[in-house]
Amino acid sequence: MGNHLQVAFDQVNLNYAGFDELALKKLTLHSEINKVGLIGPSHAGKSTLLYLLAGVLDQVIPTEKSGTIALDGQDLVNWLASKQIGLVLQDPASQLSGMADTVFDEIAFGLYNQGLEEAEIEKRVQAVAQKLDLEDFLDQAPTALSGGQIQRLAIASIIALKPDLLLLDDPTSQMDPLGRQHFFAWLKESDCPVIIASSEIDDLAEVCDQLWVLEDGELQMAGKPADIFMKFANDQEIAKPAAFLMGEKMGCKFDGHYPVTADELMKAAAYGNHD
Amino acid sequence: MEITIKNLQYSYPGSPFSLNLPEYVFAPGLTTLIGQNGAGKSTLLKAVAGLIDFDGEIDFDGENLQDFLAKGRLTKIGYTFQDPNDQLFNSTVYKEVAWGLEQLKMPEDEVEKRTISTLDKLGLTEFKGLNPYDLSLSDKKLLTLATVLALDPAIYLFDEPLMCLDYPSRQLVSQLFNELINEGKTIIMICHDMDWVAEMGSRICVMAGGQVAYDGLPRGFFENEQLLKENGLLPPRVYQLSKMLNMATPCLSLAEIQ
Repeated sequence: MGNHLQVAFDQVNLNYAGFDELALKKLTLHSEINKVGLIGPSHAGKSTLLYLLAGVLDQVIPTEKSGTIALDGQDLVNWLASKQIGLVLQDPASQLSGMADTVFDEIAFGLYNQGLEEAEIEKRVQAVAQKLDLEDFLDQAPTALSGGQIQRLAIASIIALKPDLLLLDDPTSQMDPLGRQHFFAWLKESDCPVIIASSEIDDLAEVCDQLWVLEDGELQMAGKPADIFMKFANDQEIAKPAAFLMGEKMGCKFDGHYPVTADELMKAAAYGNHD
Repeated sequence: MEITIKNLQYSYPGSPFSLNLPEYVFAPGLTTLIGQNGAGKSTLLKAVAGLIDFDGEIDFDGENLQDFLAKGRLTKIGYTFQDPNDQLFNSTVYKEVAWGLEQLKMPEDEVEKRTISTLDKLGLTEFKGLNPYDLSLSDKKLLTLATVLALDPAIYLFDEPLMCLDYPSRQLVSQLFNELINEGKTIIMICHDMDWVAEMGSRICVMAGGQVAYDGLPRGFFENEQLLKENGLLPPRVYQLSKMLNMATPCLSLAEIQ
């Protein structure tokens, strides 16, 4: 199932220049990245962790940090030098080039910069436009798009680059329900390693094989969604999937835990253990 | 306050989209606009706020938009944009909330009292000295809510107020909206979270292609598969799961589950 990537954080402390408080505190985690969901309340450090992996801290935003980060056994800086990383920002409008007259050109912008052949660019733009329901807008100006459409455009522009690691910061916050459903369906099938911060807890539970819980700059837990939600069942800061809350209310479990996906809820209701 | 729309039309230059509302009345309480991206929700909200130059009429308890706003926009309509960066311009979080109150020539101690209590209500007190641009997107959204709540206008127009908010903040905002509803304010908001819409249980106005496709309570819309399909929307997650469980009357929200 897709490409996996080994990540190793060891004792990572980080603070933004001018702020004493640590945005990440003693982050230590050795894990495999397939589909990782990053959850936790505001100010937990979710965006910071994504920026850190993308290499934009230090280069763009001054920070002080200690500790080590390695991807596939290589120091992060070296890994970034030879690999393609894709970062989709929480505010999608802020990452568009601003130099493209059409949606097509915006998606193609990064590909031109990579020096790809015209035919390959055309092929890739059409392919990602189709995946993200942007085909009808290719000739329109990016400025004429709605918030949710701009968000899909930002994602399309990044995945057209075929990154080795995709980092997504709340990428569906402005999408309509169908757009969000299509996006998560695509994400589930994608073979690119992904770390996604999102408040769409139902979708994360369906798509992610792992969740990392951050609170106040500290990693609280990393593990399978079911284990995470059981552990944080009574924590009001952490949202739970609807399937979990329904299972809890109906008093039915699946495999020793309340269900976290639709499939598990059906099984739990049909032949699971009842409390 | 009742907002009456008659023959409202608006189109963007160079775009095939056009907003077209022959007649619509927003009553006091909450009306949530839902619909696909590009359906015209934000455009309608901007028209009601008098931010775009439309054809047709929008009346507020019988008074037309221009006359209504001429009496002082700040105390009449509180509007928050989808992108909070579009409306934040002061050098600190405190000044951002105080700004509107100062424009009303309110006494200094009253400005301070209201600013502090509003920041407190939204959990922003610890950021009061920060530049709004240094806030996270979710705190910027909360700050835009604070700027309008402090002014206590008759009408609230919110473009995706739940966007980017974490779980505790969403609970807080739901509670604040319920307070506004109880105070008899007229609130129009845009929302993509169907579970939230079902939980609130207030009137929904479904938009598609610049027109109103459904107007009424959530259940009537979410139970109608044909309407959902035509308008490119999905029912709440709880409803989808309830249907999969073959519940006799599928639940719209968790509160309905026995």
